[in-house]
Amino acid sequence: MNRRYFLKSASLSAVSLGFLGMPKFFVKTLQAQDLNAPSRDGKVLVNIFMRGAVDGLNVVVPYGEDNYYSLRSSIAIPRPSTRLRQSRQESRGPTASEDAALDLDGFFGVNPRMKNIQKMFQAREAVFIHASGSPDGTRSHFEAQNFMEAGTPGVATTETGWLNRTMTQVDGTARTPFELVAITPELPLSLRGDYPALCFNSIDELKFGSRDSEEFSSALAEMYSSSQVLGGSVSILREAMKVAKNSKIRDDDNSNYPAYPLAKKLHEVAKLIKMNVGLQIAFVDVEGWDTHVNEGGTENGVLPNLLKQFDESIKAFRDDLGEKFGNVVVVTMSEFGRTVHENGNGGTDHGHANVMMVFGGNVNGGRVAGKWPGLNENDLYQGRDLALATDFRTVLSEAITKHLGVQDVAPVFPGFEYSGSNLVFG
Amino acid sequence: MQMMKYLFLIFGVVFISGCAAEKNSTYTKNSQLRREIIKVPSSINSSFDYERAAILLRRTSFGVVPGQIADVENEGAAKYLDEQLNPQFIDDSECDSMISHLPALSMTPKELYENYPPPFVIRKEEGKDAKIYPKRSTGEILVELEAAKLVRDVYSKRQLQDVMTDFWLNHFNIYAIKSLVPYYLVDFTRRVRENALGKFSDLLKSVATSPAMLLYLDNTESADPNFIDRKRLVLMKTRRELGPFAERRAYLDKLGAAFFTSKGLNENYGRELLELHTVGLNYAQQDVINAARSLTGWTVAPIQDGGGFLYDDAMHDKGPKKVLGLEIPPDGGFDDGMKLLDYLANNPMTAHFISYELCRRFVSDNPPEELVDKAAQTFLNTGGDIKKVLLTTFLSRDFTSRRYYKYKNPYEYVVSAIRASNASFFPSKRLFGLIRSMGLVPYFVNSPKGYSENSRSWMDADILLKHSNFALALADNRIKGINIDYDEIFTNGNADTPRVLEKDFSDEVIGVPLDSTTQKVIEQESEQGDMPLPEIYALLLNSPEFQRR
Repeated sequence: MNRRYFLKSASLSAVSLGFLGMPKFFVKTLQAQDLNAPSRDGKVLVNIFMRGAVDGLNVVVPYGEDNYYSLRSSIAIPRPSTRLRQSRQESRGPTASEDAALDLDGFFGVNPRMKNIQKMFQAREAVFIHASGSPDGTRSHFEAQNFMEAGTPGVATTETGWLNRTMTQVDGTARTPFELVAITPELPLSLRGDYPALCFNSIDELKFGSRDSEEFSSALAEMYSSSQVLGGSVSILREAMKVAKNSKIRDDDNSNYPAYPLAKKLHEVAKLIKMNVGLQIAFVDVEGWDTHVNEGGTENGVLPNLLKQFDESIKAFRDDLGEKFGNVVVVTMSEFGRTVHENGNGGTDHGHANVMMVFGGNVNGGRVAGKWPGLNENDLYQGRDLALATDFRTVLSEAITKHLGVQDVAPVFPGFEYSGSNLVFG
Repeated sequence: MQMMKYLFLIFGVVFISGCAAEKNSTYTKNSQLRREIIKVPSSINSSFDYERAAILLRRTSFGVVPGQIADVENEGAAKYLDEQLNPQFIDDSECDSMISHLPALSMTPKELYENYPPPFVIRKEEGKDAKIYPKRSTGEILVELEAAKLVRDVYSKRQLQDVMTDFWLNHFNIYAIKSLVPYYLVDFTRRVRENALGKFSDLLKSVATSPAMLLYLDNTESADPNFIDRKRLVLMKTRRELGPFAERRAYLDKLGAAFFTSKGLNENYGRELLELHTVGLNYAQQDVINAARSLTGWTVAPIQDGGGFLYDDAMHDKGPKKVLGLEIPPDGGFDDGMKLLDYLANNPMTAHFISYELCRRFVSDNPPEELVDKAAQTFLNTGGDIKKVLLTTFLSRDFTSRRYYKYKNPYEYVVSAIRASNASFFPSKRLFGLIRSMGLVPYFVNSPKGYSENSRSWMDADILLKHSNFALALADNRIKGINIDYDEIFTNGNADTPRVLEKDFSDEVIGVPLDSTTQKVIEQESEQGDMPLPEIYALLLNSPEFQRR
């Protein structure tokens, strides 16, 4: 049952948001009771974009594949030790140590730097969809990222993002300025479009100068009242500031985040969730995964270090949210995978399919879901990469239909046929 | 400007750490003088009235300084463009001398490495608790580079060269935090700056042979796929010819570190050379592989030996290669790469791609196609002469048409606000922090694609918040190192009431009267009389008119 919301002021109806037509942003000043009774059951989707193409084969390791070891002579993650002891004779992989893969299901294991995530998997709070990603064959980072963020692989002209279109399908009318938020310095393509979206590095940024003067802010709003480009922006900002100010539930002190960039961003997301300001979709990104050189297997290297940070950041977020984690689904994606074979520099080059990770208190966890195409030479995409078994839009469609209650995914992923799936929620 | 002295003193305190200043070679006059001198016909003067002179200034510089518009109108746009397109004749010694007090900028890569060694090297020699920060941290090099860029962008009289340096640094973006890259960024910036208004092929080659780029995009590690076998042969050969290890050592030490670490082909640079630096997204995977093969052996000498460009023939792939329409015969060497660069620099797709990027920078997010085509034609006719391509763009009707405009990105906004305020300024950590939180810091954009040149990507809900917060701090003289003297902002003298401030600002910075809405708001605040003057000035700096480039 939806409450009725009405226009706050006449000027709001006249302004236009960004470059993209009339805003659908009709708000009233939020009252305390609204804050305590957020709409839509408080379900939140958190999308983490791992920019640079993470090497999924060293994240969720197919240690049951012999070819994994023969193609990665220096950066393969050893088989879990228990299994290795049984089969040391035929094992072609490196000798195991405590740096072996952490077993998931007897065939896959996670990178040894992902101890907390292994525990979440065992607690059924994590699902991995392997051999997933974009069906488009491009190996350009930027093109591939745009395709995924737009939600239209192969179509470079899409100007709006899949998360923005998702919000339009969720309801179509924004009630608070915090429904669609990116913790980024600039609004990413995923969030661009008709639906009001905000981005900032930290909630504390949301004020005008040290005096935070209402005079200044209202003068600014007036100055932009007829602006095609930024008129809507000022209104959203002013509304967001009001809401943030009214919300007393800032940050309770139980949180314990490490000082990594991803952890800081997830901390902001957790604050928004705990503030009950109507957050529906949050976007964060994390960079540095383009491991052409010195990727590192079990040794110190780029990937193990980043995965350690990733693991601890996810754990801190999960622990901070506590029970509320049941309302949250975290989905990761990355523009493409990396070559199955390692290159000449102890790294890997641009490949094809990857792994998507889903975390949440209510997912049907403890599974590595989706078909596994295998790593035998004949199974590889163009003879070099992990083949695609699951379109990333299938995973995302399932998340937005089952978690956010979207009825029709066609406007979110135009040209894509979604016929239902049980990858995430079983 | 009398604030120069102030700046000088501050730098003296903050940055001098006892390095000889005469080695400073941040700007080499000779290489500039070799370049063709371009002459702009004075017949163009009549098409640049006061309003259009303002547009010309806004787009060819980092923002208007009060008084400048009148100067350009009076002396003629031709003279202004003449100067800006031939910057070697502009006396910029004041700005140069400020920068000469940044010690790192006058050091060679080897000296940088010795003065700011990697932390692990220091810890190895002095133990775990060795003191590194801030004096010996590589971060200091980056701070000085950022400082120098800011000083130039704010103060230099060679503004077009600075705008173009910014453009090319973004076109050939390098992220500072990777292996030995910081030690080569001074050199890299110099290469880009010296060629910013030259021939595109010279610029491309200078970048392609720069250790910073070769390291950043991993070309240093890229070798013939059969390199491992070859390496064994080289080692055997040296043993045969040069005898025992002690004698071979000198020879082996001359080979880049990559000789010992590389095991095969790395596609990273090959791909971005095509996609981001030259022809755009007009290639196939095989072109990437073959471009990478053509550039195998292009690596970097050990930094202890000076760390220059090194061609290592033993790493080079000798097979025949085909990249787009270019066939490279077998058994070549260093020249394979040069052939590739020449071919790419003069390719019509490159001409179009670069022209498009330039028009997007200087005219509009969606530049008119005829303008791009015209610029591309100039590019092809002149062998990629960047000055001529720019002049074609600047003199087109679209350039000053009211139909096309762009918004300043956060960095430009900051620099242009300081310039518009005629503020005394030195770059402080607080200023860097502010710029950083706005999302755009030179040398710190992670992807080789650089920051987006599309206004749309930064004109979001929060942009006014960021700009406001900067403007409020600036106007209130709360940013350490920047000071506005309200009596001396405008040539007109005292701007001590909101109305005068508004009028002088529109006259001397915007070039046309402000929109009626903006005027009304300032009028209201003026009548109510309780908003402090700096806050009113911050409002002006946040007006829609000032957001435009």
